[in-house]
Amino acid sequence: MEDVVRMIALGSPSGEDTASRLISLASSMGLKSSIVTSEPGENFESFNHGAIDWKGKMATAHWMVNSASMVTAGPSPAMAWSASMTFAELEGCRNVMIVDVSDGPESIARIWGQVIEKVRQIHVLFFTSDSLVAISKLEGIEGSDFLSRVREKTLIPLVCGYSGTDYTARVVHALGVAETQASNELEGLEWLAGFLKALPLSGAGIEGIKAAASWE
Amino acid sequence: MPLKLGPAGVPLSCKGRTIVEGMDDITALGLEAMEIQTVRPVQPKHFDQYWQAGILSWDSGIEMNLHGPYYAELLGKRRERNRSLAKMEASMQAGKIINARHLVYHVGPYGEYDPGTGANEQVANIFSGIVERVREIWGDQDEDAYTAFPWISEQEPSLVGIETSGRQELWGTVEEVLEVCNHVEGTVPVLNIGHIHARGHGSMRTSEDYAELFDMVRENYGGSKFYCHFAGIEHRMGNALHYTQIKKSDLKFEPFAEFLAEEGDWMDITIISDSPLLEHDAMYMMQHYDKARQRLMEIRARDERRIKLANDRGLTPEELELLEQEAADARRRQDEEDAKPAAATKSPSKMMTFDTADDDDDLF
Repeated sequence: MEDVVRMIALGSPSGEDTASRLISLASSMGLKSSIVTSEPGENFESFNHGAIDWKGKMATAHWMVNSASMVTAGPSPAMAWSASMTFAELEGCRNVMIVDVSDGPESIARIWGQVIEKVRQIHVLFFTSDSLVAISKLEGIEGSDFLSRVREKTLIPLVCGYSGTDYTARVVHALGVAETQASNELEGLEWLAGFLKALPLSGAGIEGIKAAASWE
Repeated sequence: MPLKLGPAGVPLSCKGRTIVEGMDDITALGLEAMEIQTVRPVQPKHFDQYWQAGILSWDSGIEMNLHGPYYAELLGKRRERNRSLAKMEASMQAGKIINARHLVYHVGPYGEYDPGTGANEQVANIFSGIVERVREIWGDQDEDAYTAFPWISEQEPSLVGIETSGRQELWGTVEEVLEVCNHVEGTVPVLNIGHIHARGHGSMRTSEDYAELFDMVRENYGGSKFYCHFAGIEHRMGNALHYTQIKKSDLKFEPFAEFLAEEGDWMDITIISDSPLLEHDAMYMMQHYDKARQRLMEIRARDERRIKLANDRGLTPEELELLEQEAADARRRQDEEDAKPAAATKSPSKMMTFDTADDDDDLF
């Protein structure tokens, strides 16, 4: 079997959103990755999301990456965001959700609320360093056990976060916790790209997760 | 048996994302219940949407329910408990506006309590307060409000559901939930089958397991109304790891469907699908329940036919079965007798034949 990890992401045509930036990093690391977006000339806010062949695109993909802030990009991206996760669940592709909120408290609450509605479909939940601070404040669960408590309650298999203050990436799983020092590149997105690349090939159990987390 | 099925949230296939649009989809799918997730503190701007959903539920008969905050620490320190209660307050308000029949809450970790009487008493005290507050909210209306919320005058306030938990460190075994519900009027147990299965190390495997569970609830709590959650679940060492679609889990719906079809006549049950494939799995459950009921009807029809046949012949069904068995044995013996001479007389022939066993190429 070919050891190439494949990932797709829902992104904007400009490539400035978080999922697109992750895909760009992942491609440079050798992951086979592609972005699902609107057709050229189409308005992204109202593009024909019904025309996306999710099944075909997910046929060989390991990861379906979405960013939480995409729900605010317009009605079509929001619907494609939701549909992508359902198709991934049906097709056996794992959903990765990047929580990338940092704006006003109201929008943070709204976006986080949308993510919470989808927790059962998410396999990897990642908090960027800014969102880690914002959401833990919003939830009133500050400190190092925020990720563990989110995992306990949502039962998401892998909850990760990157702290920009001590440059640490932390992965919480039912079997244990993996922690590693990682570069501050794009609020921990570089670490996440490497983690997603390493995880499918790193073996089972907490040792596999630890190995994937410290891929650098 | 009244069985209502529905998803925990707006259906995934719903083109819009509002609750009212979700309710339209639920009706189109033939489902009859919905549980709204108020996972974030409810803001006043959401109330208009909730009220529309309440009116639609009142007119259409879709059972609306509401799930409280996804994270609660009711057994935590005062600060944690108050934070959880503050989040619950918003869902209690929303419950009235949406005409929720059940408000579902978690208790959370045991905190500083050990499992047992102390923890249960504390949970009972807290839920007494919650029930009181729900009744206060439902009763706190002027005349005009009755026009806007017709269910307030004609329905009982929402029942407060206490959900079973799926992990050892969280309060909420079936026994704990039943004990508290027994002591606090206005509360009902919410049986999350996935959690019970996980906490019981994979205990829900046969229809007898379901019979035992519901008998226990009936004996300890009473009543015939049940509110359940069902989803596939991965578990390890008595702890739920994560939710999966039903097909991918060792928790199957077929035994539950079989139990409901065979022994569930006395029950009035609502089952909410909280699987990653919300309404898809709710439909899957409905199909399995229909199949189980169909199978049962066929068995009953066959039995009735036999009883009628036995009566016509002046026999008991057991005597008829014995006679039929003897006749079948005699027929089989006769067939064997008939086959013997044919085999004995069959000798290799020198005549050319086109009817050989290995003549696979004969297209006709």
